[in-house]
Amino acid sequence: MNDADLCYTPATELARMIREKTLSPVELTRAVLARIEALNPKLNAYCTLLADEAMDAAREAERAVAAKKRLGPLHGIPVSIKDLTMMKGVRWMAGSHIFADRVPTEDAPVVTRLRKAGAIILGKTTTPEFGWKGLSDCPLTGATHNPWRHGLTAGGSSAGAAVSVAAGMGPLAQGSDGAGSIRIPSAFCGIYGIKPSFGRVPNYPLSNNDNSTHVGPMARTVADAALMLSVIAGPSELDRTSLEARPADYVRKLGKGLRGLKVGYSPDLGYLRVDPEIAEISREAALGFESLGAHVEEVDPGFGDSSELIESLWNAHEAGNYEEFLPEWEAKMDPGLVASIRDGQRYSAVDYIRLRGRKNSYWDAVRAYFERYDLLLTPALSVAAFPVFKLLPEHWPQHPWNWMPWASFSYPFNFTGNPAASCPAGFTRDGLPVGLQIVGPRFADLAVLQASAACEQARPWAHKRPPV
Amino acid sequence: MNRDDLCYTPATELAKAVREKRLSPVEITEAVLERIDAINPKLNAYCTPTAEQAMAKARAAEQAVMDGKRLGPLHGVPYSVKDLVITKGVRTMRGSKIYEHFVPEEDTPAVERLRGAGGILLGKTCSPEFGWKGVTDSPVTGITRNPWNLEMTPGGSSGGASAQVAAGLGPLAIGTDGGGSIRIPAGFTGIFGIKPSFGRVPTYPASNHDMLSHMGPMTRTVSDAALMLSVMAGPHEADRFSLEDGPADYEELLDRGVGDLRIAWSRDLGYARVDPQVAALTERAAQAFAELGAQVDAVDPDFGDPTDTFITLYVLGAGGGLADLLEEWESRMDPGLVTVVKMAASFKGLDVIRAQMARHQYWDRVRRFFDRYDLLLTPTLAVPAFRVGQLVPNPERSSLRDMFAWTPFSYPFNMTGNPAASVPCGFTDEGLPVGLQIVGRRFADLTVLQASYAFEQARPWADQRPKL
Repeated sequence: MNDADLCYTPATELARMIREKTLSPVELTRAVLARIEALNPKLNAYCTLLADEAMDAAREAERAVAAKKRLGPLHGIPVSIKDLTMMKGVRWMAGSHIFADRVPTEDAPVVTRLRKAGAIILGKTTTPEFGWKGLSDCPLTGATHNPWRHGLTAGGSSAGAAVSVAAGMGPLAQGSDGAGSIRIPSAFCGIYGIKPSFGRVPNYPLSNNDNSTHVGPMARTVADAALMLSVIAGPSELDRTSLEARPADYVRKLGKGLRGLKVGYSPDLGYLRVDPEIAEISREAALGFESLGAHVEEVDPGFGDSSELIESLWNAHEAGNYEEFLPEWEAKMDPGLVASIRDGQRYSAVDYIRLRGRKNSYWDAVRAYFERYDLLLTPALSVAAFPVFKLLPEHWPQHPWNWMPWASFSYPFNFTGNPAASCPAGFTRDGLPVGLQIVGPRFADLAVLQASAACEQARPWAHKRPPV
Repeated sequence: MNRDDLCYTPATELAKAVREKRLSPVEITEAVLERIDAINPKLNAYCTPTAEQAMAKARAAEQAVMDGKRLGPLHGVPYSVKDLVITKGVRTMRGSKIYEHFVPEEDTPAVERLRGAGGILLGKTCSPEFGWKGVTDSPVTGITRNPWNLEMTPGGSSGGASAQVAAGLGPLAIGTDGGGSIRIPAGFTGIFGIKPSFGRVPTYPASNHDMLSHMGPMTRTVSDAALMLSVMAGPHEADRFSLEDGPADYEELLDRGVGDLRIAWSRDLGYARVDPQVAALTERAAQAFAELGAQVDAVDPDFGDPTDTFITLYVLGAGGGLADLLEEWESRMDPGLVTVVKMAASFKGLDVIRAQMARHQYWDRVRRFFDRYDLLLTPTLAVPAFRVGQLVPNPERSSLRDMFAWTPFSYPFNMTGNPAASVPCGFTDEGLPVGLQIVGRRFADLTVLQASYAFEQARPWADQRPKL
């Protein structure tokens, strides 16, 4: 196998090869690091590379194999950590000049679990400042580029994570999603990403945004995401909102198929603008579920237009969390984030309570839908990737901070906590990836993974590689 | 058995006697209704008794027994529901003129479950307006009194529930607890009450109180609470924060003892001012756990004083949603609540977000403590019951801070969601009950029940009855 093929081999396969001693963790890590060294200067997926540490860990992993030690499910597999997530002893910039030199003394639980499972951590991946937008540029780390076309955004906020996976710079990436930040870049980069149920993967320190942030895996195959999720899911005392229940056996139960499921497909959630080509590709992918044995109906799920709700809650949280930095740091902050904070400052507490009351009621509409359907399919996004540094595509109305209009299929399920994945659905005529969103009932992470796996089997995507 | 004894018989025994046809549901219900008729005028525990429906249900329950039908775990056992909680077809005033004529069209899941388990609804119990305070009087229902001394408050906001259970007006009551509203009245009236883990019992409609609200059982014995909780608990789609797993078999597993537990005793959480009689009684109660074989350490848990954070969350939770109602209803609302609503209107959105952040940090201290200990014991309250019509023990000092100064032990665990119970642990020289609070690790409802049960075996209380 040549090095590029090795770098594009799924983690499930790599883990098996390492266990069977047909692949050495050192060889694997060296190949991935070499690819990162070659491609990262162009793509900017990693903001902090841990090459030496990774090689040390790989050698240690190799010794463990030789010594016939008990090996974890990710033994010797390279993974990346998003720079919004803390990792002991590694600078934790969160995409901001304000924290350019911050070095935490603890691992987030997701990092602890990946290490314990034997994973090799390659480094930290880029994010826009504090993950505030679904795009891939940042005042501190600059532009992260879409591997399918240089100069286009990779989406965000798990921007570097998506690019690393799409470009073969590590098969597994940890992402986080407060309003689409796993699903948006997954769709723009043609990879698979799942935002699991709220609380499924512990999040520490807890993001202060009224239970919006979810941690999850990003991968090229569904099986890889299932494997990674099975490692990182489960309760942790560090996060008081982490779920009590243990995760299901995602890996073994993946192949259930779609037969007999009642699936709704909503092209626009009843109110969203979608570019015609995206609509067409995602519709075709959704209707494809019919040939897999599901019953697919086009639906208006009746959730109602919640754009005002996300815009105001998002900005209120940005203001509450970051306003204190403005006096000293404004000039070095993302101007869009500054505008969002300024907008958020206007809300009174009573406004906030009203908004949250509406958000609570939003759940009632979503749960009513899932009493009738097993899954909801939607386009992952309204558009294909557009030029980096822009908040909106050129053919959409522009705005100083509101990037949400083209990404509005995502955040409703941050309001509600339902599991939701973005699955590659095809390419535009221009060669840019398009994603299909698969949403499941509360806690039904397994059902979303199973549907994703069925979709992948029918229309595999992982053999497609970007021209990097 | 005379009728008084019947009214003081635990629900576990009533259920057994009904199943074994030694007691008829009609006989039980008649006895309890008769006692309510005689005693409720003195106490004002029930604001909406449902005598006729209860008798009809009792007759149907009797018929079911005679017909050899499958019987639920609470078949033929009477229970009450706090007036903040919605009940299908039964007036739900929420202690407010605003809802004086409100008749809900659905049950909250816990009520639906109690009905389904064969329980017989006796009526709705009094609450202060929207449950805003720790004593029970409201513009629509007037003053509710403590069965141990009619001049004293039974606490609140589940004050009708506590007065009912203590006075033998029904063995089971649903309470709710957003800052202590199960434990405060349980402490003041010498009964058992447990606020289970956040999400253990689904709450619906969703409270907009920032995940502070919990629902739980109030009873005379720990076994009764275990039985009732096992019926009320478990996931429900109506509440997206309800926990994923079903409850443990609390009743079956109660008798485990505390011999291997590490227990901490804190008399003041490091900052509370406690009445000397209360301090002495609770300290002695804590020692009982050492006699039962547990390791009991006197500690300062070093959580820090969260009062300011809680006040912000509380004011917005209690008052934030009512701002729009002031114009029409102010003159008919509890003036104290009006003050809270006006205070809420003075907060900025940023204040909420910052309080939420402080709350996350508070959890971090509490969870570290529970790395070292299985249980924390504290007094339930800083004082014994005080006069009705007052907001605080000393009416000269009745600011919002003073209001929380006598309940310093309860609201911390609304902020964190830990399970916490109040067990009766003796009487003051004036004959007023005193409670000991038992707090468990996240999700450890069973451990809290087991410890409560062990204490109850060592220092039984249920034989004590107020003279009425």
